[in-house]
Amino acid sequence: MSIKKSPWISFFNAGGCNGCTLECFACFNPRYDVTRFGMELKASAKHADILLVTGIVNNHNKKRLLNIYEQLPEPKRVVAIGACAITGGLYKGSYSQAGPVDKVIPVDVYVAGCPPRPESIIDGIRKCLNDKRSR
Amino acid sequence: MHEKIFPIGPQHPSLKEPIFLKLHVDGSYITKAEFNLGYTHRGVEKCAEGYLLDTALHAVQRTCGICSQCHSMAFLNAVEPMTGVQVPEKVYLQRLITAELERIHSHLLWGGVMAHEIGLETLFMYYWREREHILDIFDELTGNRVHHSPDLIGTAKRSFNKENLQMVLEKLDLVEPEIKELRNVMENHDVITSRFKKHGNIPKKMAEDLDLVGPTARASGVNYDVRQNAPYMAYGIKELKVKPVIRSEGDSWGRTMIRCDEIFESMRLVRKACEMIDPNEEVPKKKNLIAKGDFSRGRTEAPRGENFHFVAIENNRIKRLKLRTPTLANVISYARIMEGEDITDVPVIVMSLDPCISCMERVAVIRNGKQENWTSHELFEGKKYD
Repeated sequence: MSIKKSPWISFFNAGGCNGCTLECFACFNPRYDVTRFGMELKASAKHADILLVTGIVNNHNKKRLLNIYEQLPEPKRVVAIGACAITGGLYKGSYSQAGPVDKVIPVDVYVAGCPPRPESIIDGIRKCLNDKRSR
Repeated sequence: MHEKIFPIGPQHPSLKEPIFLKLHVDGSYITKAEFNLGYTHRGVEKCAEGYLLDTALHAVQRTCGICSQCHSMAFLNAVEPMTGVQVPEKVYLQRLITAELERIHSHLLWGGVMAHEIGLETLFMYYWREREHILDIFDELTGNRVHHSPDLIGTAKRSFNKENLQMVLEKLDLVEPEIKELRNVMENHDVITSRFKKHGNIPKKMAEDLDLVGPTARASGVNYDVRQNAPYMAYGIKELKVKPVIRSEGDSWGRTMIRCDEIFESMRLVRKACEMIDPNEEVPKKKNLIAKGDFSRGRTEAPRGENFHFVAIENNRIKRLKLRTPTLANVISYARIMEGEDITDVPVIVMSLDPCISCMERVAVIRNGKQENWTSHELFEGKKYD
């Protein structure tokens, strides 16, 4: 129930360029204001319902991402944000990468764009609240 | 003496990007600081190898989400002289407008995050509200909010018309009084002054020895700005000469105020460039260009400091690309300035240098599957600064 009424959000940059990070934070600014959906930005994944992941996962960060995913309480929701997180984008085939996010942890919603606009990020988060598991 | 190790990161409330700080603390005082990078290393340089110049321009812009225009300009600074293309003044002025607006957006973003670090959530909201207006301008001028990429080699994707320029000036008039008010808050707020003044000191000698760049160096009294010392593109025009803001404090406070003031200098440049630009002139069509020569260099002043690109070319494709972003020059001073500080001041000191970690991840030393830490001793060879 809590995930439907007041989903708390945590955020992890798995190896992106900062562009998606900024747009994720822009969701919390006065213009887009996702707090009206009861969402709140939480620093620790232990307090959050939804994990936003941006960027291609690199070898160095893979262990940290898995660690953070384990800390996320059930029911876990993961939103992959941006071209790099979905397919690898520009860095596909780079020597330092461990694959896009869904190679490392299960992903519920993909939000495309380089970077996606805050509107589509909000839409993505809303979509993962409406899937079957949360009813 | 009970020394303990206090780890911060890679994912931590006070850090927006992954970086690992290992602080040796005695009580709450830091005796030694180590840091560990490489969490957002993506291999931009290697990925760009073999790309055609036009494609490489897009790859280079994706180095950083905050200062993508400055990366693109540094790359063009290197490549355009090699191709021998004649770039019209209008294209240069358009690039200047985008770059200076980017500086305003970057400093506003930084102000918001800094306010967030010390718990002033309301100030964070005010800063980010003003930043949205600047992003609106980017949306209008280039069609993108973050990675604007308006450039092509020798020309631009579109030419700014009269309505565009009108909109830029209107938006600037709208945000200027608000930003002045925010500067007043930063200057006179008791919490900010007590937490920023005399913390995170970088004396002038240390700034010179470590080759710090950008607002960080200028806050310590170093008069160095690429726009002034080696003018490129439209910065060479007499009316658009930059007067860098210099301060002598060298602490977190100085670095804060320098960024607040730089916004107004950038606004002056944007207004002047909007006046000089001819709205009816069309930018030239894209041509197929062949680069002559082996290698070239380009540099620009990004919001965080000097941005250096080395480009080696073979058969019109990138053979080797080397980027040196401003944060890489600045971040090494963390190990030194954190010593002797209280642990509660760490978020302020980290943010006062305005690090852009994602932009700077060039190399990580990994031996036998284990990453090596950079210690202050290794970095400075036991040098002492007063």
